[in-house]
Amino acid sequence: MNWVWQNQGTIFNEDKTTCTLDQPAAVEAFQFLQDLVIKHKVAASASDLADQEESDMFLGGRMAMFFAVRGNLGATCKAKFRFDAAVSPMGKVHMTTTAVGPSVLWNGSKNKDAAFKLMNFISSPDGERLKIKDTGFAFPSIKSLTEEPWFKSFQCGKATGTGINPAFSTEIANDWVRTFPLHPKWPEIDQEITKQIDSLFLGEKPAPQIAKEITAAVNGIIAKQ
Amino acid sequence: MAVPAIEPAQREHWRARRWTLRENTAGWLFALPWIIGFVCFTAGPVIAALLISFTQWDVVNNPVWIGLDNYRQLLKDPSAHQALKVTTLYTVVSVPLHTALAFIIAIMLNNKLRGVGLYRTIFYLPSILPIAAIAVVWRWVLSPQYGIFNYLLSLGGIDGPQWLASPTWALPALILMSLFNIGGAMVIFLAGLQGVPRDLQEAAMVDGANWWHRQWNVTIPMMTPYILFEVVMGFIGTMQVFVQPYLMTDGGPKDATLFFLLYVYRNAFQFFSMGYASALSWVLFLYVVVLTVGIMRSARFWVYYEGQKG
Repeated sequence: MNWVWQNQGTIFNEDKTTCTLDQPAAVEAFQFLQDLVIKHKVAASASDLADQEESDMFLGGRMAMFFAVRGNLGATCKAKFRFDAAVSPMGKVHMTTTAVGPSVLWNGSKNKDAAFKLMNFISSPDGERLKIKDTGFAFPSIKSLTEEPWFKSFQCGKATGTGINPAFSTEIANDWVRTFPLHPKWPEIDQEITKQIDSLFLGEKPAPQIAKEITAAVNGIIAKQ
Repeated sequence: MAVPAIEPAQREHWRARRWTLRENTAGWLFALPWIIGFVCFTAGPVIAALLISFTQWDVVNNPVWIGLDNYRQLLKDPSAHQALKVTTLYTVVSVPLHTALAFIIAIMLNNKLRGVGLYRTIFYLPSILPIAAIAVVWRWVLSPQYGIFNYLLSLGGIDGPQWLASPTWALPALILMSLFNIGGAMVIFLAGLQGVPRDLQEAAMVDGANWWHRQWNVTIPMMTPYILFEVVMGFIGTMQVFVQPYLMTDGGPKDATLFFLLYVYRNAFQFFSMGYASALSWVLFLYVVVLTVGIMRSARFWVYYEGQKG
């Protein structure tokens, strides 16, 4: 969805009652992605992706760039070559996908106080430092941590210089990231989009048709009781 | 007052009853762990799934009774139809091929060849490997660009297919993969072949039957109970295939490998539609039961039991 968002497209309308992936901005983004794969052959094809994940292709020297969140650094730091991270390329606007891993406390828990205490620690500056400082996993949820020296000088394997963490904090600080929308049927919708995107990567149908089919299928899921 | 003497026959009767009771009790006690396990972990969940299938339940909130709505939804759900089609197609092609290949290999390995033990081990080996490991290896074997299959095809000047990346070839690729796991069936056929009477083979030989005639008219008829067993077990097993598509294709591309169980899993643990997933499970269960009964009924036309009359 990076491409759609960078092109100022959206997945849903404001109140998430209708899919908007058939709108011109999204269709244009789908076309751009399809062209990267089929016409220009510079992005991973369906057969490439059947072999390996993008991050594995990068580590194996088969892919030059891939979209990543800081959580990917854990594996990427093991790269046997020099590499770096940068802010995602810009379309009409800067926008890239991120993911949030919330901690949830169940209201039926027998040990609410202890659970709350643990959650409190995990999300405290000390807890986040402990979790993130020496690893390539997760991104601080506390903004001030991104200004601390340990974060700014994080050395990730053979990464060139120490600018790797700031690439991610720049995107977040500038609000250039977006998570997938919160929708009660998102898992089902996501599955449907993934299925239809296969046609895009295979070049079986033109992008506008795929966009139309995705939209119809997603609207069908939304309409379902 | 004198106590009437117990007749020896009556005493014997009571002794026999006590012995039977003791035997029965011991039998039930031995079976008890299995019975408890079956009731708690198989029958219980199966009945619970039936009840859940009449509800709308997202696991977190209380289930809401919706009667047959899940079953009605299933009738018009294209993904469920696709899943049933894929699973059935996989079963119909893979089970006969799998059984035939295992049978042929078993016949070959039933000869007194030099190093036959080694060959048997080699053919059996894939059966004891974890399916997850096999799936990972096969992803590489079937790699369109770097896989050994396409490399071998390229030696013959053939441009290999995209295998798992192709909606046309993904299912045949999984069928092909299933054929390399014939060890279990092969061992059963090997055991069965030991029981084919040599005198029948020799009699046929005396009558002038060649190798092929002996297999067709003696070995295969004598082996039909084993073939039936393998077909039924293979059928039930393949209707429940999950790990391979889950790890190798995630049902794609374009639902070409959307197996029924994978769709059940998605509904239960990704979409949190536990009621609908239970309805799907029950439909699969009934589908398997009906077709299994069909196979068993067909047995009277092609399975030969030595002990049977006629």
